[in-house]
Formats: sequence, C-alpha cells, structure tokens
Amino acid sequence: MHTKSRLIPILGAVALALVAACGTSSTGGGTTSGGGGLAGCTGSVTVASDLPTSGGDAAIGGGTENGVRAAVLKAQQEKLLGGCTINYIPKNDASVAKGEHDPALGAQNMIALTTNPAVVGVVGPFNSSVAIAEMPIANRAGMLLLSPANTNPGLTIAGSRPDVDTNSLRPTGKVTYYRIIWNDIAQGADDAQISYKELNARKAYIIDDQEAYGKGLADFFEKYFKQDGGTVLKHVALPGTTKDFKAQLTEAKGLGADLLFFGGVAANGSGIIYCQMKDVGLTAKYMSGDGTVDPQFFKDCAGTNGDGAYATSAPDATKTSAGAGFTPLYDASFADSSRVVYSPYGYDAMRIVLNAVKAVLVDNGGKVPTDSASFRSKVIAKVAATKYDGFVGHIEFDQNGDTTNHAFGLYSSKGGQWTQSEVVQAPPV
Amino acid sequence: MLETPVSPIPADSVDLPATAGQTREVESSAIFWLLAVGGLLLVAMGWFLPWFVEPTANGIGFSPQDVVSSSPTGVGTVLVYVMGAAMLALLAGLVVDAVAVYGHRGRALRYEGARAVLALTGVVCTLAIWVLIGLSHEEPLFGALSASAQTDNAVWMTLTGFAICAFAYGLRPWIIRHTSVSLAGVAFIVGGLVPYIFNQSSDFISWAAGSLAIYTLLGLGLNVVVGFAGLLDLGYAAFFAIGAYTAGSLFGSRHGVHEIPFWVIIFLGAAVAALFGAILGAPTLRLRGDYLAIVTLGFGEIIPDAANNNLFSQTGGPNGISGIDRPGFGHFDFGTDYRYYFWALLILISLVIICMRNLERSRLGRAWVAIREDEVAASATGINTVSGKLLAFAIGASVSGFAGAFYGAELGIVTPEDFRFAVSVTALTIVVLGGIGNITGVAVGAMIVTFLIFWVLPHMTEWSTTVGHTTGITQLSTVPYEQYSFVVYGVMLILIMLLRPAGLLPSRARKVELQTGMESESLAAVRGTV
Amino acid sequence: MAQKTTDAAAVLPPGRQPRLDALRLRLLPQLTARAFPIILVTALVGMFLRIATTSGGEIAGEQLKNGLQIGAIYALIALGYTMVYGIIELINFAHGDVFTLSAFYAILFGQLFGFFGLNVTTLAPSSAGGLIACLLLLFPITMLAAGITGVLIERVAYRRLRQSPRLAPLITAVGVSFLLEGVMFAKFGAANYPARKDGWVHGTAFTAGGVPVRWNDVLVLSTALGLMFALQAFVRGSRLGKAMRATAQDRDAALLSGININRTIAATFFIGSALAGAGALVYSIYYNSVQWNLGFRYGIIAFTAAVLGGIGNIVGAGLGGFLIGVISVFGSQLLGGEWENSIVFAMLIIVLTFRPVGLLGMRVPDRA
Repeated sequence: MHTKSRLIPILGAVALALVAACGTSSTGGGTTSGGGGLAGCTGSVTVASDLPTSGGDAAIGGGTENGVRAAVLKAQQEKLLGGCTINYIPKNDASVAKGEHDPALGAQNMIALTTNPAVVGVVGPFNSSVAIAEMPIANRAGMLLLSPANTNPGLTIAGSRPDVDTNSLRPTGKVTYYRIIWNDIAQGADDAQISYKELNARKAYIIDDQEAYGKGLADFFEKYFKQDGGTVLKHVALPGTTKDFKAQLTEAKGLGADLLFFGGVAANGSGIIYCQMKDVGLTAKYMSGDGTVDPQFFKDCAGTNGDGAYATSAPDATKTSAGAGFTPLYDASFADSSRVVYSPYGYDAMRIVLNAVKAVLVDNGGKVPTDSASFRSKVIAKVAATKYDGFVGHIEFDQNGDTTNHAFGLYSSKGGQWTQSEVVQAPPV
Repeated sequence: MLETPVSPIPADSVDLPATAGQTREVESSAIFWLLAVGGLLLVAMGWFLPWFVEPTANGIGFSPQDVVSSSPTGVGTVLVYVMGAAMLALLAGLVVDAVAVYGHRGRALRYEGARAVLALTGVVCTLAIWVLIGLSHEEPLFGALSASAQTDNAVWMTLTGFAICAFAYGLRPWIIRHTSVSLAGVAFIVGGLVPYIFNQSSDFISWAAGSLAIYTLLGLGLNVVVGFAGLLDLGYAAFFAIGAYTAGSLFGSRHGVHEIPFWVIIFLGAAVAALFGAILGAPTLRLRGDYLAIVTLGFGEIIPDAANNNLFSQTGGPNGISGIDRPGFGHFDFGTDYRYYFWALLILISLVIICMRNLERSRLGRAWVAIREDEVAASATGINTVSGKLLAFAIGASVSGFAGAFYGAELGIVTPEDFRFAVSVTALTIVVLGGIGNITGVAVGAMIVTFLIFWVLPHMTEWSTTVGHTTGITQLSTVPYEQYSFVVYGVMLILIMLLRPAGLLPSRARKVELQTGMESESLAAVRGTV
Repeated sequence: MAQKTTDAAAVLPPGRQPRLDALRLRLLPQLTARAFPIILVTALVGMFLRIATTSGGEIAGEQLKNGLQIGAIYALIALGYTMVYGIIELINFAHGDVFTLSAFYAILFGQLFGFFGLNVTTLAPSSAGGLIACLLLLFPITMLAAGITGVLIERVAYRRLRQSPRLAPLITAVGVSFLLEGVMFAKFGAANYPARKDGWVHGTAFTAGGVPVRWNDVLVLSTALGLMFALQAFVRGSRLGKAMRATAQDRDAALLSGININRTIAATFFIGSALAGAGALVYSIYYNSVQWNLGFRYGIIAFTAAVLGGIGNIVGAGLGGFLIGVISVFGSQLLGGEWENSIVFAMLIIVLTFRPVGLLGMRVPDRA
C-alpha cells in the first residue's frame, strides 16, 4: 500500500546523506611511530579497560573505571612514558538487553580490543562470568588481562572450583590473566578465622547476594568456619535487589545465631542488613568481606546504627605510607560519592599495566615496538615480574597469576567510617 | 456459555484479501527498490567503511575513498575514478527515481539497462583494483598508500553492492515475478559474505554471530508462540536457558561427555527445550491473553532462579556452567573464531526460516490462525486446540534451544544472569517491532534491535569521542552515554510502538485481521473523539 | 470457566464417551477452584505452626508481622495495578517504576521543604506531632505528583494505542518502565539513595503477645488499610467511581450513557499512581533508602498480589498483597530465602491455573 511511497524517500535521504558526507570526510593515515629515548618517545600506546559501567553494576563498575581513568590521567600528567602519549579505550560490558554485565558483550568487546593492534593491555573484567567468556579470547590473542575485581579462584587455580574448567580458559597454555585482588579462598579462610578466634562466634547465619563474588566468599567462609569448629545454622542466598531481610534475620534470631555473615557488596544490602538486624532485635556480631567496606554501608545504615560491624578488606590504604592519598587523587577528577572499594584496585591495575609498558619501552630503546604481538607478550612478561607497592598493598604475582599478598585489614564501623583495627595474614589453606 | 453461537471463521481472515494480487505487485516492487537502494548503500558503505565499522581517534585508511584522498599518482587510480563515477551515476538515477515516484515528476526507472551496465562496470573496476593491488602491491599503480591500508573489506562491500545493483536493474521483471526467491537468495549470499565484508572488524562479526544470530533465532521461535498462535509469552528466555544449560552441561567438562558431537548436542538442547515448552505450556492451556503472559513471566523468573540456586547441583549456581567445549566441523576448529559460528548459524537460521514458512502454511499453521482468532470457534470446527497450543509452545521453545546451545558454545559459559526478564523483553521487542507473525519482519526487527543494543549503544562513547576530536568539541568526549542507554532504549520502544503499533513490516494476514476486527467494533472509531 | 468446558467437549474425538470426560474436565477444576481459599488458609496456618514449633511462637508472630508489613506495601502498589487492569485490561508494567519514582519524589519534597526552613528530616523524627505534621505535608504532595506522573504516562504512551493490537501498549509499558528507570538512574545514581535519618519512628510502639510492633509498622499498615477502604468507598459511592465501574464493564455502553471515557481512564491512572505514591512515601520512611531498579520486583510481586486477590477487585488487591507478603516471608523461612521469588511466582501460577478469578474475583477476562 504505502510501502513504496515511504520506502523510497527514506532510503533516498540516506543515500543523499552519504553523498553529503563524501564531500566533508577526509581522515586518513594510521598510527605513526617514532624513536628516541623515553623522553623523546613520539608514538602512542593504547591501553583499555572492560568494566560494567551501566545498568545494575553502574555504581561499582563505574567507580572502578574512574579509578582506572585516574591512573591514566596521573600517568599522562607525570609523563610516565616520556614523549609518548597514552590512549585509553574504556569498554562497557553491561548491556541493555541484560540490564547488567553481559558475557556476550564482554566477548564482543574483547574481540574488538584484541583485534585492534594498538591495544597492548586491558584492565578488567569485573565479573567472573565475563572473565570466563573473555579469557580464552584474550589468551589466544596473547593479550594481557589484569582484573581488579575477579575473586573466583577457578579463574586461576585449576580444580579449585568444580564448576570452572580453568585449563579451557587458557587455550594456549600460557598465563595471560592476572589479578591484583586475592581470591575467595584466602578471604573466606581469613574471615572464618577472625570470626571464630577474635569475635568468638560459634553459630553463624550466612546470607549471600546470589552473585558470583558474594556466593563464592560465603561458600568458602562456610567451609572454613566449619573447619575451625563453628556451626553454620543456615546459608541463604537472596537476590541483590532484596531490600527487606527481616524474615531471614528474624529466623536467625530464633535460631540463636551469634554471627551474621554477609557475602556480598554494599550495593546489595550490607548496610540494610545491619540496620535491619537492630530492627528485629538480632544481637549477633556482623562480619562481611571487602564488598562491605564501602561508604554505601553508611548511607544505608546511618548514624550510630551503623556502628559495630566488622569486615575484612585490603589493608587500609591511608595507613600505609605508599597508599596514602588515593582519596585526594581520586577526588581531584571525580566526585567522591562515586568512589567505591574497587576504585584503588582499578587504579593500581592500570598503573601496573602502564609501568609494564614503560619497562618494555625502555628495553626497546625508548621506542614503541612496531610488532603488536611481541609488544603484548613483552608487556605480559613485565607484568608477571611486577613488584609494585600500590594503594592496595604490595603486589607480586605467583605462577597462576594470583597476587601473593594475602594480608587483610580487619575493619570495624564507627561514626560513619570504616576503621582498621589490625592487619591479619590469611591462614595457609 | 455452553450455548455460545459458533460462528464460522470469516474466510478473509485466513485467506489473503481479494486485492492480494495488487498487494503482491506493490510489495514486489518494494523488494526491487530494497535491492537497488540496498546495493547502492553497500557501495557507499564501502567508501565510508572506517566511519561505519570502527572509528577510532586515529582514523583508519582502508577504503577506496582513501585511495583518492591520499594524493593518488598512479595510472590505476583511473579505475577508482571510474568506480566512483559509476556509483555517483547510479545514485543520481536513484534520486531521479525518487523524485519521479514521490514528487510525480518525470518517469522512474529510465535507462534500466544502462544502469545495469554501470553497475557491472563498478563490479569490474572493483575487481580490477583488488587484483592489481594484490599483484603489484599498490605502489606503481596507485601511488603511496598508508602502510595500514588494507582494502579487503571495503572491496567486498563495494563489490557486493555493485553486484546487487546490477542484479536489480538488469533483472527487474524476474525479481518482481520471483520476489521471495530473489530476496532470500540475495539475503543469503550477502549474509554469507558478511565475514568478508566486515573482515577488518572481527567484533562486528562477533556481534553478528553472537547477538544478531542468537536473537534472530529467539525472535523466530517466539514468533511461533506469539505471532502464529497468538499466545503472549513473557518468559521466553526460560527455554533459551534450558537449551543453553542442557547443551552446556552435555557438551563440555561438566559431565565429561566430549564424544557427542556438537551437531547432535544442539538437537538434544532443542528437544529438551521443546519438552519443557510443552510441560510449561500445559498449565497455561486454560488461560488467555494477559493472564497467560503473567504465568509465562513467572516461569521466566523461576527457571533462572532455579539455575541460580544450583537446582539438583546440576546448574553450578551463580557461576553457571563453564568449560563448555568449542565445536568443530571436520577440519574446522571453531574455537573463538566467530566466522564459523556465523556461517553455521546462517545456515541454521535459513533452515529454520524455511521450516517456519512451511509451517505457517501447513494444516497446523492454519489451526494456529484459528486458535488465535477465536479459540471457541476453532475447537467447535474440530481443531484440537490443546495439541495446537502445546505444539506452538514446543516448536517455539525448540528454536530457542538451538540458540541456547550456540550461545553456550560461543562464550564457553552460561550463567543464570543471561536469561533474565530483560532477555525475554528484548526477544518480544524484536517480534513486535518487526511485525508480529511476519518472518521477514522478525529478521529485520532482530537486526535493528541488536544493532542498537549491542552495537550503537556500546559504541556511543567512542563515536562521540571521535566526533569530539574531529570537531574540537571536547565536551562530546565526556558525555556519559552509559547512563542514558536505558532512556534511549525506552524512548525507542515507546516511539516505535506509537508510530507503528503493528510493527515495521506488519504481517499481511494480521493486517487484514486487524482491520476487520476494527470494523466489527463499531464504536471504536468514535472513542478517540470524546 | 463454563466456556472452557465447551472447548473440552469439542476437542473430544468422536466415539468416546463424552459425558464422563466432560464431567471430569469440568468437575476437577471447579472443585479445586472452590476449595482453593480453604487450601490456601490451611497452608498458611500450617506454615505458621511449623515455624512456631521449630523457632518458637514469638518468632512466628514476628514473621507474621514482617509479612503483613511488607504485604502492606505490596497492597498499595497492587491497588494501582488492579484498577488499571480492571478498566483497560493493560498490565501497566511501568507502575512499579512509578512507585520507585514516587519514593524519589517523597525524598525530594522532603529536601524541598528544607529550603523553606521546614526541615522534614529533623521534624519527623523529633516527635509524634512533628511526624504527623510532616506526613500531612508530604502525603498529599507526593500523591499528587505521583498521580500526575501516572496521568502523563497514560496520555503519552497508552491513550493513542487503545485501539491497537493488544501487544502494542504492553511493549510501550515496558518502554516507559525502561525510560523511568533510566531517568532515575541518570538522576540519582545506581546505588541506594538515602531517604531520611533514623528516628523514634523506628522505636517500639507496643508489644503484642511478645512481638514488638514499631511505629513504622503501625504507619505502614494503617496507611495501606486506610487507603484501601477509602478507595473502596470512593469507587462504590462516588459518581466518578460509578463511571469507572461502568467503563470497566462495557466501555461502549459507558460511552453511550454519556461517560467521558478518556477522563475516567485518566482518573483511574491518577488514583492508582497516587496510591503507589502513598506506598512509596511509607516505603521511603520505613526502609530509609530507594534504588532506581526497585520497581520491577515490587511491581511483579504486586501484580501477583492483584491476581491472587482477583484482578479488578480493590479489596482483593489489598488482601492479595497481605497474603503474598505473609506467604513470601513464611515460605522463605521454610524453604530458604533464595526461593522467595520462586515461591511468589509459583503461587501466581497455581492461582491462575486453579482459580483464575482470584480469591475475591468476579470474572475471567477472556479477551485474548
């Protein structure tokens, strides 16, 4: 009926627009590369990140990406690579179709980054499911993946999780994936030991947020808490959108729990749970992981109600000489409210990549290597040999790509702040 | 209600209207225009490929356009100019046609034969440039090209575009007589060439093999349930999940069954999904309309919940199932090379479409129309509504089972998060946007929706940064597009539905039904005025 | 359902004994439908007793209170669903997001009063009088804003599609839902947005049978019950209410008898959204925070509540809300919290399969 008369003008207009574009567009040329010392370095180096920065993960992923950006900005300001410029490609692996991180989009992003010969290293991903989709692609392309946030032990240690086939993630057999955060085994064991020995808890009620991080942490906590001699009354998993935990907390009260362990991130209810514990009159101690050490906790549980909770995280950056000043650095470029617990991890991860790039450039006589594949493998070699003191502590990698730093800070909440009371070494597991 | 008068199904709600021939004529010429314009668009895209596929701050020089703009000196450049002239001439012809048809001035489609020759010239020139560059490494013939100039994908695009134009102008009467064949043939061939056309951008291929192909399958399957049988399903992702989990756990390290080939597994996945389609469909048999929608939505939430809660310790909880093997075919190890997945899925989708078209016209397809229009009347005329509905659920689910199997194989992991409500909504959007009940419409809808969601929205930041660099408006680089992706998607859904409530390409039979439906409600037209 | 038997009889192959099969097909659903309320109540009492025997009566009582409290919020949202569905048979997917948006309205208005020297955040927790004064200010203005939002959505996204295929308005509803979520996300960020400070409102009001009941429990429950009965009276008694019922029953006949359909439908959206606004206000007081993507889950659960009660039925929606609240709380203690959503949806499927009219419903919508 109207198909004909409508179709033609529309398509005609498109064609005309293309003709119009013909007259104006004239970009050309590729990446040029120059030589000289590092001060006289003239090329450019491209690094990237892949984090979920929209949808349900926007707060935590966006804050992490800001940390990565802060590292790039800092390196650009202090001319880390001398005359060479640093290009940064931020990728977002959260899709509208999923409303959150999306392994399919992650894989698509990773293919785009690996096939772009300019990119030498990627910071990310954030979620373990995305990591599993991206790792084989990056591994085949010999591209460095440095995660600031994946804690699933299966990503690096074969056989540690029955549901992850670690070797299939490394089709070339080489380690190209590293992470600067500990894995769930270390933190679960650490939290269990602190709960049992220092908080004298014997009967734990465990809640997790049904996400890979929260569930993984809660599972290992359960395992090691039982090993230490404690009793796990119940382990429930509630979706991250849950806002009302009173039913579970009332049950915990009925069961006589003396410890409530939450495996999850603050955005999924750390603070809400703690405040609702008071509402239902559950007097148990509260213990959680690094996802809880987050200003969001005090937004959800403000004032004196938020006092007295415990959580472990990386040793307090502001109390180590190397780590002081992340907050002002971050706040110089981004709103403080967007800072999350993973922001310094994002910063340090990108800084490690850039340091490795710098080392490669220096080795190469101050020039940007022209061969992309060898550049990438050299960057990986430099990252593997990293000895770096960052905001999150000292970082070296073992042969699996895990950080060797298993020190945790034990934090307690008081007056709207998380304060570190001591540094605990995770028990050997 | 036992004595509900049983009215016979009006003949014209099933058969095509009396003006079918006329409609066919108009639509077929539309297909001709589609080919002509589409072909030219491909040519143009070949020229501006870097802008379209992967614009970066650096700018890339891959296309014939760059041959011209990088100060050509060689003799071979003549070929490029001839090619450009052919393109511009064809374009001018199209503009004249548009004025003729739309503005009623002059005559459309004059010098058809000459245009076909022009397009063929374009084909020859493109081929010649390609061969010459390949043989003599550009220098003597074309002058200095930038080091990274690789003409492959631009050439493929231009070549295909010119070929389509030649086909369209040269064989117009034949195309009008054989509309479906010509459209399907061209679509299949161009589809098969996509990995070459987008050779430079493997993430575009991964988009095509991942998001596009998977969601096309989902749309086609959901179209059986929603479009053919008229059963509104808001939890379609559940069957996708079942297919993916079945295939994922059989084809990989989870159960250690590495012996069964992937090509058997996909049918197992489809079969299990179909079985669940029938099982989950059974309690909904008595329900209609929105109630059915809500029950399916419930199933759609329960299935990923069950997967997340590691049901029977089979689903791996939030970590899902990983370690899924990568398929292979003979000597081809698919690995993470998305081209193979794309070709395999293209063949699968083509087969599914052929099946769907036959199904639509089969006895079962007519039964679905009857059930959709008036269930009581349908059962009164002897149609088995129970089996009809269950088959619709099962067949619809089986297609998503294929999709699930491929999804798991491509990514190596399936997790519960991949099958939430938003996925069902996206599949439904594809069907409704394309035109409920229209297979071509669904395919088009899948292209539009997945292109927007998985290509445009994720690239907004980069594109904007590029434009910001080129124009000097640096503020463009800092627009937080991620924040607005939901807004854009929502506004798009609303606008499309307001402007074209029956979809972009409404199903012909549906259109008739809708119109007759309107007439029977005599007051319908008055309502808007009060 | 009588209609259903026609189908059943018609699909029988010739030669078989139609009477027996028809009888079975007719009787079984009817029996289950009749017995459904009894089964439901029995199940609830059973769950209560099970919790009471394992965890003690006080815990069981407390869980009952928890269920009623969360159910009150579901009920307030469900009222809007049931009204809109009752009148134009549209599942207003955006309703849950109108609820969330209204919670943000409530917070913003609270802050706005602060500009005029009337600090709600300190006034409300200071004393009972202060809280009542606050609520008297905030309730009307939040409900008004929410209602206007609802009317706008109807005007822009639904009215033009009233004559369109059934799916079109459903898709726009999903579109509006995405749009609202996107706007809230862009404006207020992804994290929980803090509402107001804790105060005495979280203190204990009285203790009933060993179960401490706090002031905010009282507030939530009384708001839900009060508004539900006020709405029921309004729809029963007022002229506009009659117009609504007439439009719901037969739009064409209502039009013939001189009812302004557009205005009636707009009024329905206004009232439904205003009630969600009231729910949002008490939600923001109770939970201290709001998040942009709250609406989907609460909306779906509230819709389940409306269906359970019998869609189109106002008291039914309220009853359904309370029941769903209690069922989800009891169920998550007995089966584990990870199944909470599944329990709600399973409930929905069971209701629709065995008693599609809901507990207090009057009719089965049969427009496909």
